[in-house]
Amino acid sequence: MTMDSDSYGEMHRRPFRDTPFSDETADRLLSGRLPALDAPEPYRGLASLFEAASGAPTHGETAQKATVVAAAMAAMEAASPVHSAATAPLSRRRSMLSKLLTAKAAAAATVAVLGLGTAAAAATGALPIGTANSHADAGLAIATSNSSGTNNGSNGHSKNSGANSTGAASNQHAQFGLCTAFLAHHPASVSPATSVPSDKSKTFSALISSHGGLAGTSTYCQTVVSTTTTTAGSGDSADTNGTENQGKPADAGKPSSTPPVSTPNSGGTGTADTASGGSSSTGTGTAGSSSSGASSSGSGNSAGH
Amino acid sequence: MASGEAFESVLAAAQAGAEWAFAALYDDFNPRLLRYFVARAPRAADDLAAETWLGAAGGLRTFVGDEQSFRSWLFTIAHRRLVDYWRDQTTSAGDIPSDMTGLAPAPGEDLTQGPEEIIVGAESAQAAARKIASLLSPDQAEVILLRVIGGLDLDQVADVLGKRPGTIRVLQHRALKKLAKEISLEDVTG
Repeated sequence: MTMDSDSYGEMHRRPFRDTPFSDETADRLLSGRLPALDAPEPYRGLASLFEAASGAPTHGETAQKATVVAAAMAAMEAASPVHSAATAPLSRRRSMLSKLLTAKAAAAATVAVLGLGTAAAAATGALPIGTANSHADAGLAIATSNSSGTNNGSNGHSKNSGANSTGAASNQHAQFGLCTAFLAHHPASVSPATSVPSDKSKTFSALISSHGGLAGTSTYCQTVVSTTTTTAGSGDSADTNGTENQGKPADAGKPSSTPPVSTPNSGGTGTADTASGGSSSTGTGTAGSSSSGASSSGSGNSAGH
Repeated sequence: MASGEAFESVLAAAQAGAEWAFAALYDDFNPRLLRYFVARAPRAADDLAAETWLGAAGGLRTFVGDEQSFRSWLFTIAHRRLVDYWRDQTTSAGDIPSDMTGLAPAPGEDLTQGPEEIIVGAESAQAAARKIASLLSPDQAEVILLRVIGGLDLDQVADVLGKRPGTIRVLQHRALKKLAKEISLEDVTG
């Protein structure tokens, strides 16, 4: 750029460099309360431009009316109070429930992994002799329990003593937790063909392989869960049944007031559903949040009137 | 839209599910909505306007307020749609879309014409809106468009954009000075 062109620009810009725009002038200009014909010279061009931008609508600007209105009516129907009352709170409850029970399942799986890991270490001789023996016994107790399907925690305690009995009990709880988690991820209604590919857990894989496949594992786990439930809930038998106690691996023996585990079957899936639901309804969600924001604003306006 | 009771009755009917009432709201507000999008994202203006109405329909039953509040609410949705659009464009293209940095005139459109010529030209309102956007930074353009086309006051613009009123006032002041300067230059050179 040359000096001449700079000077040319400055010459023509200078008169407007300091064009005063008080708040009142700006408001009048921007709200259309300063017509171009009445505006002082420095503002006339702006007023004219703003008048044009806020001018009368043209036919082409409502060309999509039929399509948009029809779609909007359908959207309103979908967002009607009946739908909201029936689905939104339920989905929120499911979400919370899923989180809670997923956490429980994760805790149970952790206990199971620790128990199995300890048993494996004992079997390979990686633990000190005393400990290895006790955990080997525990593993044996579990194996016995698995085969008979009748042993329970109290029997383990009565047959063993000291560290052994504690190990057996905790491993049995671990098996219970593992089975509970397994059943949660492999409900009976889901076909093995659809369950297996999504199962990437080494613990589950080991469990499945050790019981000859999904069907065998499922049968085994149902036995473990029902057996443990029956014995663990002995002090609260009135509230205890096989279904309700499945979701309480960490609370064995306590009153059963939590929902059944069949709901957390959707533990992983339910959480994913919730997430995808939120994502898929981004538009509505945004509108909803917009709505609430504007509604409060609107309420304020209404209150002001 | 006739203000006051007429708007309230139309809004109430629309909230009750009357199609004619929703159509009336559309007739009244869509032209300005469309101009806002034409100025900021011309290639997706129609789609964004339609999405805004769908979003509004989803929350219409719970809306409470007068016409000015409705206008602010509608443009809040519109602004969020626009931000979503920009975000998508940025994500997919890997860089900032041209829509975001100002406007590249569509083929056949001349955004350099003066305001007087714009007024009498075809599609003058949309051309004027695009001219405003083309002369200002994105932030400044957003403020001016929401004020002029959206019909929002300064506080409402602050709410829509999630900024403080003082920030909006500064943006607005700088935008007006810049517009005045550019237009005066066009008048002199044109």
